Amino acid sequence: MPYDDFKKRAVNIRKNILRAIYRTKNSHIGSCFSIVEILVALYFEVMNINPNNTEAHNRDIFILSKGHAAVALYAILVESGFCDTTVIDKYAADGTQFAGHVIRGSIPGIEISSGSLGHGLPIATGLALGAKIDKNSNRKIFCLMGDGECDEGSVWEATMFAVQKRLDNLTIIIDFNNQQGMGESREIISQDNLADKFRAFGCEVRETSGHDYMELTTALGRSNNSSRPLVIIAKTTKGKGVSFMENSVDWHYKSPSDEQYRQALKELES
Amino acid sequence: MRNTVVEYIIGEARKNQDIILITADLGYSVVEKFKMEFPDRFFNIGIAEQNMIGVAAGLALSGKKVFLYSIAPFAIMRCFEQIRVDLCYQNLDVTILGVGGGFAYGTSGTTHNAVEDLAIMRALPNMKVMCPADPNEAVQVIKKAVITGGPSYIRLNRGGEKNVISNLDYESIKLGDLVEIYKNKKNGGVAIFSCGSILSEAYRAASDLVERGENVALYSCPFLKPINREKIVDILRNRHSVITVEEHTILGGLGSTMAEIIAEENLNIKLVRLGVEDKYFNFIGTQDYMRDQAGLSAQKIEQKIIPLCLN
Repeated sequence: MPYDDFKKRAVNIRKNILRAIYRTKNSHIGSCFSIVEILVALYFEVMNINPNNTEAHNRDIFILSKGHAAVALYAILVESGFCDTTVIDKYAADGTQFAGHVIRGSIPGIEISSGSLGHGLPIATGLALGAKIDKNSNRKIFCLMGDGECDEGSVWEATMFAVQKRLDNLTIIIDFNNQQGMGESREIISQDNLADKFRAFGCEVRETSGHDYMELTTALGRSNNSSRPLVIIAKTTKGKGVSFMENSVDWHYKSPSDEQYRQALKELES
Repeated sequence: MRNTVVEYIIGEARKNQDIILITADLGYSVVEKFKMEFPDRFFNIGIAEQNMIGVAAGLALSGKKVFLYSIAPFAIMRCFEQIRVDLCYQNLDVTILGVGGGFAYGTSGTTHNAVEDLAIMRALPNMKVMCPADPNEAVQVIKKAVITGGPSYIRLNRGGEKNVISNLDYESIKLGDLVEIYKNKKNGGVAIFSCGSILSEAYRAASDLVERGENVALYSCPFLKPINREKIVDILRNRHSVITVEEHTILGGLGSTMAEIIAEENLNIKLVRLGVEDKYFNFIGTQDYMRDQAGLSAQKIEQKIIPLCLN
């Protein structure tokens, strides 16, 4: 994919996220903006998926473990042709399944229900194990988690098991923005040595920018010949793309006012 | 009971390539036979129950039929929220086998006892809750779990129990049905409902009363959810008293189920709930001893029924 297309898609996605959250005041906008480039790289460069055959037996599987970034997942599924923009227009509407935390089956391509942290990796590990049991499967599993999410003990239970079972078909991506609900991760439970932790647990670890196209696609796309689970620590900026949202913990829960919406839109379009 | 169940799963696994058995490092001398025969379909996940549930969910999403084996409190309480979100919310085909139900591991102390499990599991949408009385019933409920699919919790006792009654016909029993052991001989009288392996005590109490000519019925309830409400209403309609027996807190299990049915169906009947009082014991003991302390020995059950017979 040409670099301009990559940029264009990222802008489209951020605009849809902004639109849905501005309209409903149902936020986590910072968490959504943080992972946009990771999603574009996965959905357009890395994963073996087909919007016209979403139940394909051999498809790769994306698990959004940080389920509160739901709107980012809706927006990438729109962008990659899995569904139309209804999910953006009806986000958080009464009676729909377009929730603030994703629901499996609500639209094609949403593989699990998530929203409670520390659940995605154990499930991803089970899926990776399932693919290993089915010996002819070359399915890959991609699990996206937050750095704050790594506070959860279940993350480490799953990591130990995935290493023990040599699940090299599992890629764990950490959206490392050093922010969590109540403040900077560094001030709450520091994950500054997260790469060392995963290495010590026996994973293959790569560190990359979470927004740079070349770096991201290289880190995610290069094959893993290690017979260990692959961990990609993607350094990201929470609220990326809108100056006043960047690196501010407020935008974990906050939604933009009319004025902020206009300014954000202007910045995204510039 | 646990060995019978594992034997049954082995038999099913021979026919169905998708069956997987996972333990969280428990089941020494129980699960090895499965592992020997199906080394690629057996996993010891380690002492990590949260991960056990998540991995089971991932396997179920891959089309596998997963059985989990652990001691009941660890199998469902440590990882309750994983069961809620990963299994029940997503309605996945995973069967949890919780051994050591009630006071089966009484001398191990409260950490290893499960007297709140049925209530906890019963609150979860999609979850089927089963509590067989003996090896015969255990095989029957697990058959139903396999056929029905979706999440199930099956509370087992431990090893070495005998069948309470050996000549019962289980083949016609459907999901939710009761097992009739003694029928009331005429209108009025007392109906006893028992859930789980405490049936052995309830059966001794009921047999004694039947021998003495009392108008007493006894039903075993291996399914707590779903439960055949129509059948229960049918039985209760012509009785003056009902008594429930469970090795479980009186909050939220069989006794509560019965109270809900009686209230909602407007039945004019006296209800006595026998079960474990709402407290932790500050002592330990064998299953028989703990049952007796909880008022659940055959003799103590009988003493509670006798005044009802005089009505």
